[in-house]
Parts: sequence; structure tokens; C-alpha cells
Amino acid sequence: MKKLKVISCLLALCLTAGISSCGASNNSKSEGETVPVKLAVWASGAADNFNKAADEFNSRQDKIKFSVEMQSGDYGQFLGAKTAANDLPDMFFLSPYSQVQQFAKNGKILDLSDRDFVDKLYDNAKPSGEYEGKMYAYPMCQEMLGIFYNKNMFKDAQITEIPKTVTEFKEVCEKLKAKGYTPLAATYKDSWTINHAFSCLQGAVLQDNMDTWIEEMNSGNGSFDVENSDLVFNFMDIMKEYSGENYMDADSTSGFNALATGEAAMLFSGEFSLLNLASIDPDLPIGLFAVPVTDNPEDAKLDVDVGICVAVNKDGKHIDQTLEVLDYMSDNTDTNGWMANTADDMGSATPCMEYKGNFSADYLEDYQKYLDENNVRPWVYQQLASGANNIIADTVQGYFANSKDKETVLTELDSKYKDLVK
Amino acid sequence: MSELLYKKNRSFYFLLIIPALFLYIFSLIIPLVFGTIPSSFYDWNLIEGSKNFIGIENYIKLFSDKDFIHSLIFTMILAFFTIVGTNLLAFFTAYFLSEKLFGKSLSRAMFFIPNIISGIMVSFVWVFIFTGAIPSLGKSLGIDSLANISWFGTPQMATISIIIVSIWQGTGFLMMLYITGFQTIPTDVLEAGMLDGCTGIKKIIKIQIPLLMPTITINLFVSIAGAFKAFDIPLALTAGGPSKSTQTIALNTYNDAFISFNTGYASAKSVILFLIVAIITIIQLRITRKQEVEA
Amino acid sequence: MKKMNEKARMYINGVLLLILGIIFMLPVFLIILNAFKPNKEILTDFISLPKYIYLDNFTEAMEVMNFWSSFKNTLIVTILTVALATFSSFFAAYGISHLKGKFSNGLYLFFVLGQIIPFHTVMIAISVLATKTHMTNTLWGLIVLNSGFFSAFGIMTFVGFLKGVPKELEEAATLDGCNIWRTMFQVVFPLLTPTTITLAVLFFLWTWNDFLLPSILNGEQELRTITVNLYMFKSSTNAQWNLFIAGLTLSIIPIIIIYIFAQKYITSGLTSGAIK
Repeated sequence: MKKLKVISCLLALCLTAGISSCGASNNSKSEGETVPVKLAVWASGAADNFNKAADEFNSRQDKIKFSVEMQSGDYGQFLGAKTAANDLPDMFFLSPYSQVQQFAKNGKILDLSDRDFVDKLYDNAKPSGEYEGKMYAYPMCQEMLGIFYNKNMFKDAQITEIPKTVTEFKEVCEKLKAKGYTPLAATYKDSWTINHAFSCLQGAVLQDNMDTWIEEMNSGNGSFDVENSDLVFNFMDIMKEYSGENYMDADSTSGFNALATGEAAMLFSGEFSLLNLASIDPDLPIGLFAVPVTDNPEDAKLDVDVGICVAVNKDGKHIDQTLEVLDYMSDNTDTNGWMANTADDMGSATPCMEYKGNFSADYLEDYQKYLDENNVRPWVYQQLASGANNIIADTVQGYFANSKDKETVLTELDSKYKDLVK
Repeated sequence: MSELLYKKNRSFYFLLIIPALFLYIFSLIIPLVFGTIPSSFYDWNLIEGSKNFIGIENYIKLFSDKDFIHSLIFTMILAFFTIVGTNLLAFFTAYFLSEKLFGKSLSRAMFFIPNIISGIMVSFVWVFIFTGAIPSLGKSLGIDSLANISWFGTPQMATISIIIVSIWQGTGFLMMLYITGFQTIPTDVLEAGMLDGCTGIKKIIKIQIPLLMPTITINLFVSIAGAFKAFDIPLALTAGGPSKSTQTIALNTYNDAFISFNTGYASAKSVILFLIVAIITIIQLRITRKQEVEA
Repeated sequence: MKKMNEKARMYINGVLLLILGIIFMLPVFLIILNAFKPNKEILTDFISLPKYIYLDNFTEAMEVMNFWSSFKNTLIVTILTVALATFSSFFAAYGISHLKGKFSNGLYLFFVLGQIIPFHTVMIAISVLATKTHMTNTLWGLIVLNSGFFSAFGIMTFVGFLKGVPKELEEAATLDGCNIWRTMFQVVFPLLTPTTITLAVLFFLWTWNDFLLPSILNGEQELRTITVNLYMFKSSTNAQWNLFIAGLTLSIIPIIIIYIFAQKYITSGLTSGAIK
């Protein structure tokens, strides 16, 4: 009986606590003149930096309370649920190109064509936020896909030149292997890394034909089987050969860590793979080069594309204030603003406009060189129909697991993609 | 009970059902009947906002969807091994842990604890165990065959990994229900059986299993329903890979709903999944509940 | 002689099962062990003992997770869900098992079917419903919805065990002058204590660990639950294993305590005497 009393007291306590906390959250909304503006972002290692940048904004004025809400778990699920319920936040992250276009088509997001940031953007970044000639999202940052390498291990293996052709790349792998190193860090248990890789390889063999090919694909007439598809599969063979034993068991995190801990000499991925480096070995010198797929050195371009677009909810309650926050986020002259807080770090993506940051790293210097020489190309998959990334990821993974050969992979890709565009 | 008394109390019994009925209808039936089922008749892309009525076209499309059919077969295989594995393991641990035993509480807790961590969390840890701990254990013991297993490299091994983790995680839950069931068997019945020479396996088959039938009904039902909904562990362990070979129906449906946002098509898949599981469990309930009556 | 044998068996089997239990628990031990290591050591040396006790993971995880606030939310939601789900299920099961005929059978089946609806099936619809009824960013929304989800399992279990309660017992109670309410609460309910506790523990566990529902409904930082904040350490491109494991260890402690506390009641069990 005594115990029952204790339990019922506890219950009562919780009830009151529950009610009072409900009340508290309601009060905060009507309190004062401060207007809350929320930005929903997907889960990533960059969340801390976003919060810092938001705090900086809030410390400068007291009219707007800007907060970044990181969605833990699956972001697609969040978007789907919120779109269905017509309950989207003031601002939210979207994947570039197809997702922006879908939201714009559905009339859910605000036309931002007259904002200041539009003119400041790099030209190659603009299409990622456009729909029917208007700018519907702010391309917040661009990311680089290429081969990140451990400079110390390259020195050890007496590799002085970075490889510019596929033949040279294979030689590099051999040298590293002879030295007893694992040449490439495997990440192939996570199929999204395979989508990234395949996209770069396909882009490399398409070269100048990329735009026409994408047009053909999206009208339902194209094929993944192109003139130099052999080279794509040749490169994947090299990846399979030099990624160590049991390469299908390694997921992205373990692959990223393999580079950071010096277990592997190279990693085919993006700058985000270096986010954890700071906590593991911040002084490790990491360089970057473009993936060499052909035997023509001029084909080796770095795969650079917009990684995140920020859209503004058309039905948001505080659109003016939201736009003010967006201006803050896109100000490239602010030396302590959004960019300084979010882009000046190991593994952070870089803004899509001229920005003088105060962080330097070897890989960023390499990246800047590619940018200055305009030696870059966009990622193929982002411009294909929404969902192409999963088709590529899941199908090509079969090639890595040796359960599908080249012909099967290409036919499956084509038939699944046709279903998607239809 | 006398007919008169029953009539008098009938309205009271109805009243008792109302709170649960309200909660249940509100949280599950309304969303299902007014959300999922109607949308399965639409070609509906959630993000683009296009929504056209297409009748049963989504359902027709299902039958030629190779990935869906594969995921259906895979789910059945996975379900079979998981259901049998967890139930056997849970039954026997519960059997031993219901007797007088040294350190019984501690043992029970240890078998149950894997179940208190969510499937996604334990799977992350198991990935570490499969790819890190087991290989280094194999190396230090000098067993190369153990060290060199690629747990996620082939569809077969990936399936085995999922089965191992599912059984490991699910056992504690069913064990707890079996233990509760064993508690309800009156000791005098067992003693009487012992006097008649019913011991060991004979005791289990002749006395305990028949008396445990209500528990077995519940446990089978729960594990069938759970196995067909398998989502967390396959998602976190293999994400359906390599190359969709370990994709369960729930995962397959999920991808349609939240990656390509084909809400209509995903709803049709959900309805089919619901019907399949409903049929299987109703058959199972019929069979096992009959046994209860006979016992 | 026979007694000695029995005692020996009790010890031998007991120790054997303890060893098996320890093997079974190894992965959980590994989680806890690694929570006390710095990140680099976790990555390079997962199966070894920590070189020294490293507590920074816990302090950092608690800070990033907003631990006490999410702990409070989780506790409120969990306790109230357990109470609501357990009692509403018991009432309904009691009603169903006393009603006669096709109607009660149909009602039983209707509830039971709820157990097989996969959550993802209704997720979009629930999100729409919750927004329309202003249940997003509230704690009571989680309590109501969770109780609804659990009622299928709760009713099914209670109905199963109510069958084991002899009708004569209730008749006797009625003859003794107990009204129907007292018969239910003071005669029948205590008999089902192990079942009730078992269910309550399971409901506790399910609510405590629930991720999908709170992640969809409660975006606001002040209303997030532990699991939702825990997942921030693991995204598709990045995993902070040290913080994740430390946060996980913290989050399972309450469940272990509840389980150990409840186990006494589960084992004390249904005394056969009461039924006779």
C-alpha cells in the first residue's frame, strides 16, 4: 500500500511537471517582441558550428532569435512529415537541384531572385538553386569530391608527383602497397559513398558531353552505358584491388577514420570526411587531388558542386525576419559572421562565393588551385532526377560486392532510372 | 455467472473498453483508414505536391516490382529464422531461469539487457563487433578463418549477421514473457506430474507446453508481427546492402516513402504488408488458440 | 541424498547460466567499457580495457545532448505513458474478457490487429493528424499516441492472462458483497501483478527508447527526448563514437534500475494458493 502511495505521488508530480512545461513553451511564444526564426538542418558533424554562428547573430541584436534545429535521424523523413502536415520551419536545408526544383514546383518555397546574394554567387553554383530561371534557394556551400591522401605516407613510399592519369594512379597504389600500406580506405558498406564515386567517374568520362547527357537522361532517352564506360569500371576495379581485405565490411566512418589514423594512405570522398580528424590527429598533413579516370592528364578535374541549399518557407510566419537571417548567412564580408563560424574549420564545406577565410590546410590549398584554374566539374547525380542517387548507390554496390557484372549493372541502372523519370 | 448479473454489468464492461478504444482508434485506426489506405489509390509525390487518383494501379505495379518481391522473399526468410531462433532460445533460458537457481536474478538481467537498448543502437555496436572485435579476436587466437570472415561482403553473410543480431536482441523480451508464463503454472500441477513420472523433456512437452499455450500464442504473434516489420536492425546493420540483397519490406517501403517520396506507392506497399501479416497472424492465432482450449 | 543433488544442480546450472549470460552480455559490456576511452583509443583499440578512466566523453555528451532537460522530458513521457497504457489496457481487457459472444471476439481481434501495423505505414498520416490537433511540440501528444500504439499488445497480454483467473473467484467475491469495481481492483488485479509489472516494464522500455515518434513531433530543443538528442552523434556522413557510446550508456542506466527493481515483483509471481 505504501508503495502505491509513493507511485501515485510520483505520478502526480510528473503530471504537474508535464503541465507546467507545456505552459512554459506556450508562454515563450507570446513573450516580448522577439521573433523566433528557425533553420532546420540535417544531422552532420557541423552542427556545433551552426549553433555558434546563430549565437553570434543573436548577440548582435534582440529583435530576432535565430535558432538552428538539427534533425537527428533521417532528414527525408522529417521533410516528408512536415510537408504533408504543412508545418515546415522558417528555413530549411534542401539537396541542390532536384529537391529545390520539387519544392519550388510545389509552391512551398519563396522566390529569392531579388536577394543580394544572387550576384555574389559563383556562376557554377547558381543552377543548384534555380527553377524556371528564378532563384529559389541559397546555395550555402560547395563541397569537393576527390582523393584525399596522407602526405607523410606518400613521402615514405617515395611518391613525389600526384597521379594525373589512371596509369599513374595504379603505379601509386602499387608503390604504397609495396611499402606495406593499404592504398585506399574502403567505405563501400555505405552505398552512398559508392554513388559519390560513381558520379565522379561518370562525370570524368563524359567530360564536355555532360550537359547533353543529363538532358537525354532526364527526357528518358539516355543510357548509363556511354562511350567510355569501360574506364569507369576499370577504375572501380582498381578501387576493389587496392582497398584491402574485406573491403565490403568498412562503412564511411571507419573509412574516414582509416585515413585519419594512418591505416590507409588515400580516401576517395569529400572534405566532410575530415571532420573527425581534429579529434584524432589534427596535425596530419592531408592533400587532395582530382580522381584520374582516363590517360589524359587534362581530364583530371576536381568534382566540386553545391552540397547544401537553404530554402525559405513561403508560408512562414516571419518572412521579413527570415530574410534578414538569410542575409546574415550570405554575407561574405562579415569577418565574424556565419561563414567565419561555419567554414573556417577542418572538414567544413566552403562558401559558394569569394570569401577570405582565416583557416588554412594543405587540402584547401590544393582545392583553391583547382578553383583558380577553373579545373572543376559538377557532380552528375545531383542533376539527375531525385532518387537517382539511391539507384546508383544500390546497384553499383553489387559490382563492388562481386554479385553483379558490368553489363548487369548498366542494364539495371537504365531500367530503374527509366522507371524513375517516367 | 448468472445471466442476470451479467446483464446488469454489461454496460460497465463496455465503459471499461472505451478509454483504450479511443486511444487506439485515434493513434492507429484513423491514420490508417483516413490516411494510408486512401492515399494508396493516388499517384502522389509528397514533395512535388502532385496528386492524381489512379485507382488500383499502384497495386498492379507491385506485382512487377522486382525489388519489392525480392524484399518480400527476404523478409520471409529472415522472419522464419528469427522467429524460430528467438522463441527456442527464449523458451529454454526462461525454462532454466524459472527454476531455483544460484544467481538467478543476475542471469535473468543479463539475458534481458540486450533488449533494453534500441535496435539501431545495438546494430551500430554490432558493426564494430563484426568488423573490429571478431577479426582481432580471431587474430589473437590464431584462427585465421574467424579473422577473415567478411560479415557484410556477401548477401548470405549479411543475412546471417542480421539474424544473429535480431535473435540476440529479441530473446530477452520473449524470455521475460515466457518467465511470466512459467510463473502462472501452479506448482501443485507440476508436483503431481512429477509423482506420475513426468520429468525432464517429458515434463516440458506433456505439462508445461500445454499450460504455457496462452504465452506461446502471444509470443508467436508478437515475434511474427515483429519479424515482418523488421526495420531498425537491417537498416542500421546493412541498410539493405550489399546491393539491396538484405532489404526487408519495411525498408523497401520506407525508401519509397521518404527517399523518393512516392507516398501513394509506398502506401499501397504498406497496405499489402499489413494484409500479409494479418493473414499469417490470424492463421497462427486460430491454430495456437485451439491448442489452448484443448489444454 | 536427493536434497544434496538438488543443491549441487542448483549451483552448477546457476554458474553455467551466469557464464552464458556474461557471454550474451559482452556487446553491452563493450559499449560501457568504450565509453571510458578517448575517441582515438575507441577507433584503434575497441576490445581492450581502457588504459585509464576517461570521463570527458560523459561530460561533453551531457552538455551537447542537453542531458537534464531531455532526461526530464523522457521521464515525464515515459511514466505517464506507462500509467495510461497499462491501466487503459487492463480495463479494456477486463471488459473484453467478460463480455460474451461474437462482439467481444471481434473487438479483441480488432485490437490485436493494431500490433501488426508497422509504424512507418501511418507515420505521414500521424504527422498530419498531430499537426491538426496541435499535438506537435507537446509532451502529452507523445503520451496519447504511444498509449494508443501499446494498447494492442497490452490488451492481448491481459486477455491471455485473465483467462487463467477462475470465474468462481469473482463469483465468490460478488457473493461476499464486493461490488464490480472492487472485484476488479481488489480481487482480480492483484492476481495479475507479474503480468502488470512485466507490461509496465516493457512499456517503459519502448517509450524510453522510442525515437521515430518524438523525432517527428518534437523538433523544439526544450521538448526533445534523450534518444532524439543521442542520435545527433550519428549522421550518415559522420559519427562521434565516443560521445554516442557515452550518451548511450547514460541513457540505459534508468532502464536497468527499473528492471532490477521490477524483477522482484515479476519473480514473486502469481501464488498458486490464491487461485486454489
